Amino acid sequence: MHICRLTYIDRGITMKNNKKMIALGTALVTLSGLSAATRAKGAAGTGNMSAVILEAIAITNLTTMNFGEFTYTAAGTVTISTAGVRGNTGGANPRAGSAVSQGVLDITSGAAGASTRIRIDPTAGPSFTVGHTTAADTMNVKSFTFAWNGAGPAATVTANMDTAQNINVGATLEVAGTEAAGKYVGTYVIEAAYQ
Amino acid sequence: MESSRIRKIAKASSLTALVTLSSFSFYRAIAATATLPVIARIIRAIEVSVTASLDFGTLAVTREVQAEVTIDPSSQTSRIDGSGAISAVGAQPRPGFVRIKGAPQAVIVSLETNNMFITNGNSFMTISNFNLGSVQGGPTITVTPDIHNSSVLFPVGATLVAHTGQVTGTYTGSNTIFANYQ
Repeated sequence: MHICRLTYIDRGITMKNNKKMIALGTALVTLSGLSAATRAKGAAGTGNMSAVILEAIAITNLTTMNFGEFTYTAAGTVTISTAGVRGNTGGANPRAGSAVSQGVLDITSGAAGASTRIRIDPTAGPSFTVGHTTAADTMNVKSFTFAWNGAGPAATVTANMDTAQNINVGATLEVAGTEAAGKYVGTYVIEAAYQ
Repeated sequence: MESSRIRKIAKASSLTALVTLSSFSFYRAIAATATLPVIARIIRAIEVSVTASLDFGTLAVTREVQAEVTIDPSSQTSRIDGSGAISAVGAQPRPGFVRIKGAPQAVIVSLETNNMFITNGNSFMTISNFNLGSVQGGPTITVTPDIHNSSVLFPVGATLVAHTGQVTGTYTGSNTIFANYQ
């Protein structure tokens, strides 16, 4: 965290024909949390200005979200919970022995005690696609949920970055039941913002 | 002179306020986004087909004693017990064949039962000790479809027991095969 401190000297106000400017200055100083009373009396005073520059939030992917392997007999869904538990509906049939994982993220910020909201980037989501590595088929990934330190799973969680916990991410994969067999890859975009 | 001072003061005050307000604004607006990977894999559904039925052929039995015929899936030959109560005549016993199609990954193949009956509608004979793939295969094996043709073919053997007093006829029955990715 970096703190920039600026100081100015108020030498008083005596000219009557500058009322508008004085009023503007007083209002702004009041908004800034400084007292304008000393100026009205013509006394000298010191006011502090401060600006806080927060270190940028850093997001690191620790574990790739992996829906694992599955077959299908008809349309359905494959879900992965924030705890890494896989489920299915309809004609999608997960292969029991395949490796699966929820997404796991590490989010760090330099703002001690600041809470950070984590959610899908609304300008990119709410759904994303994964595409076949060699064919044209795609599948939708939607309904992302987040969990942090007992909070969630929910579409949005607020985390205190002073607590060393990772963010777990779950989602739902939509299977049309017509896709080609093979590997599908894609991305999703999350947003972490100070609150 | 005084006017100039006032302008400076007002300017400084405005700067103070704007810096402070903008710092709040900066704090609330700061955010980061990240693009993260996700993967999934669709594998070919397993198909099971019986390309040849397990066929004990035509057997001649005496009615006085129990007798056995075993089909060895490894050698694909039959073995008749030494009781002398049963012999192959006409069509020879032959193993069944099962084809598994799927992704080139381990598939567990098993039978619903390892001891079943075949019947002519009135009488029955026992089929047991199934062996999948080889004489030591037993009723459950693990196979992997070939990566090039996505299939694997294996023989099925078993032992037929003709009971005392077995009547003449054509005996049939069925067993169920299960196949699942490991």
